[in-house]
Amino acid sequence: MKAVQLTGPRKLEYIDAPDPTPAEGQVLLKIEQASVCGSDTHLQYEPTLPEERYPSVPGAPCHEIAGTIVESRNPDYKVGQRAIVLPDYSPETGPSGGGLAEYIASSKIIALPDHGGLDEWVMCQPSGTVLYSARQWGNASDKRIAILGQGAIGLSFTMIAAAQGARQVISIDLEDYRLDKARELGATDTINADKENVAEAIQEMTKGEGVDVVADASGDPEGLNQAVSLVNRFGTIVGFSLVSATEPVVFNHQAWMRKAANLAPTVSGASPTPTEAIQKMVALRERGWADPAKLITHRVGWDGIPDAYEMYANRSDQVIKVVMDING
Amino acid sequence: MKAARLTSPQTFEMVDVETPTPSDGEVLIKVQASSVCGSDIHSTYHGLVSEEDYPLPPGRPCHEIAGVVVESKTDDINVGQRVVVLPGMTSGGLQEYITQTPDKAMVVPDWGPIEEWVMCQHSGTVLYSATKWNNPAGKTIGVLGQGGIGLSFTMLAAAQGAEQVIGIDLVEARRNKSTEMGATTTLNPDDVNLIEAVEDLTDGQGLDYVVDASGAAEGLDTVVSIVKRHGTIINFSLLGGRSTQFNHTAWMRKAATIIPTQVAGTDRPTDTIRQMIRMKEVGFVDPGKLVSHKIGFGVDDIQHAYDMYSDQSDGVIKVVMQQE
Repeated sequence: MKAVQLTGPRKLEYIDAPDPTPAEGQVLLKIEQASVCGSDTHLQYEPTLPEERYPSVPGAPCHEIAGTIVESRNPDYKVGQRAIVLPDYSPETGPSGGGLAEYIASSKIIALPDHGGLDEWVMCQPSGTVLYSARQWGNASDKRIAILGQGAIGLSFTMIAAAQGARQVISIDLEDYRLDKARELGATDTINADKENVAEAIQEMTKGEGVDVVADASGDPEGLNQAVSLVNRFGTIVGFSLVSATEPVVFNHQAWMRKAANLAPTVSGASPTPTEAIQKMVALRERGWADPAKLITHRVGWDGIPDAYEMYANRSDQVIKVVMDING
Repeated sequence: MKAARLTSPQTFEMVDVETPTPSDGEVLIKVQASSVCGSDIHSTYHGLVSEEDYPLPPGRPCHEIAGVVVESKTDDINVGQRVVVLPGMTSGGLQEYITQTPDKAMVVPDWGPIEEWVMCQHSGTVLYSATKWNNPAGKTIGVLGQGGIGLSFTMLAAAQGAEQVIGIDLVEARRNKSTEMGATTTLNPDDVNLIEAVEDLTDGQGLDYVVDASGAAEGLDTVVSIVKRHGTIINFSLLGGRSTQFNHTAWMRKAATIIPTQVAGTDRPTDTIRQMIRMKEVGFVDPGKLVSHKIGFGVDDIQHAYDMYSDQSDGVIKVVMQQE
C-alpha cells in the first residue's frame, strides 16, 4: 500500500509498505480521511527523537483516522461499516499503524453513521477525548471555566463547556483568530494573553469571583503553573496538555498546595476504555448537541500531507484543524 | 387585599385580609403570577396534614410566585423590578401582595411574560438536584414522572449533553412535552415492560442515572429496577410524610447510590433558582415552555387550577394563575 512515514525531524517520506493483516479482534480499515493532532507535531514530527524511533511505522505520526471496514475479524463490526479507529499500541512495537496510509488494522473501533462526510466525523476523535476530560469538571451549570490554549483541543473544551451551560466560559490564547473561533463556539469571554494580564482580566470578567475550573490545553510546560495561579481555592484543574517526556517541568508545588486545587490529569487514550468517549461524541454530534466539524479550517489531498504538518507545526495560515483526504 | 386559602381539603375560599407593609430591608411585591406545585397537592390539598391546620394561612398553599416590586425598603431591589419570590412560612402566593427580603426575592429581566419567569422557581430547584448527576456528557439518564419537575430534569439532561434521555410517564400529553423538552425516547409503563424497554435501549446495561420525579410511593422501586449496577438514583419525589415499602434486596443487588435532594432544606435555597433565571436569560434552556394553562385569580379559577392539577386532567403540566 502507499504510505507516508517519519524518517527524521520534520521529514515525511512517501513509501510503499506491506498491507497490514488484521489479527483476531481487529478490522482492516480502508482509510479515507485523517487529521493532524498537536501531539503528532509537538511530540513526534518536530523534535529530534532517539535514532531507533526513525523511521516511524508506516502511516505515523497520525491517530485521527476515519474510513470504511474492508475486512473484519471482530464479530461486532461488519465489512462496509464506516468507522474511526485508534491505532493499537504495544510497548515493544509501538503503534499498529497510522492514518497516513491506505490501510490500518486495529481493534479500537468507533462506529460511524452512514450519513455525512468522514472528514467531518473524524473530528469526533479529538473532541471525544476532550469530552472524556470535561467530565472531570463535574456539572458545569454553576461553574466559571477558564481554558488555556485555543487550539483544536482547547476549542473543544470551549464548545463543551458552553454547550453544558457553564456560567462563564473564558477562553485564553495568544492568537486573535483562535479567540474569534472560541467566541463562535460559545466562549462568553476571551483573553489574548499576549496583550492582557490574564489573572487581572479574569478577576474583572468574573467580578472578583475567579474561576472554579481551569483546563490546560496549552501544550506548554508552564501551563500547569499558570492554571494553578488562576484557579480558585478548592477549584479543579483539568490537565490535557502533553509535554515532552524528557524535558523536566518545574512545578510550583507550594502555590498548588495553597490553592488546594485538584489536579486531574486526563488521557482518554490511556484509559481502560479509550473508544468510549469518542463513541459518545459521535452520538452527541448525531443528535445535534455539538458539532466538532466546526474546527476544520483546512483540507489537503494525499500530496499535501507534508504541507499539512508544516502548517500545523508553524501554526501558519490561521490553521486550527487540517483534514487530509487520503484518497484525494 | 384579596387572598385565597384552603379551608379544608380540596376547598378554597377567598378572604379579605390586611395588605402587608414591608419592614426595613423588605420589598412589597404585587403578585402577578402564581403557579401550582405537586407538593401543594400531595400534602395540604389532599388533607395529609392534621385537621387543626385548616384553614391554612391566607395565600397558601402556593410557593411559586412572581410579581413586580411596588415599594422598596432596601437598596438591593428597586420599585418596578420584577422578581420571583419565595414566601415565608406563614405566607403564600394566592394573594394580591406579599413582602420579602432580597435574599428570597430573585430579580428577573424586564422582558418576557412573568408567567414564564415564575417557572424558574421549580426548575431552579431541579437544577440543584441535577448537579448530583455530575457531568452527564454521554451518559444515559431516565426520568420517572414527566410533570413540571420531571420535565425540568429532562430539559437539563438533554441540554447538558446526556447521550440518551428517557422520559417516562403514563400521560400522553406529558410524553409529548418530554420530547419537546429534549427527551430522546419516551416510554409509557402501561404500554411496555419498562425494565425490558430500558434494557433494549441500553444494550442490556440499565441506565447510568435515574431520577424519581414520580411523586408515587412505588417510584423508588421502579427506579431501582431500571438503573444499571453501580448506577446512581436521584430522588426528588416527596410523599407527604408517608412511609413506603422499599425493595431492599433489589436495591442492594443493584449497588446503586440513592441521592435524596431537596434544595429547600439546604442553607442556600435560592442559588440555583437565580442560576435558572440566568440560564433562561441567555437562552440555554427555557422552563417557560412548561406553562400549559393560564387562568385568572377568582376563587373558581383557583379551585379549578388545583383540581385540574390533582386530577392531571386537560393535559395540564403547569398552570399559572394571573393577576392584573
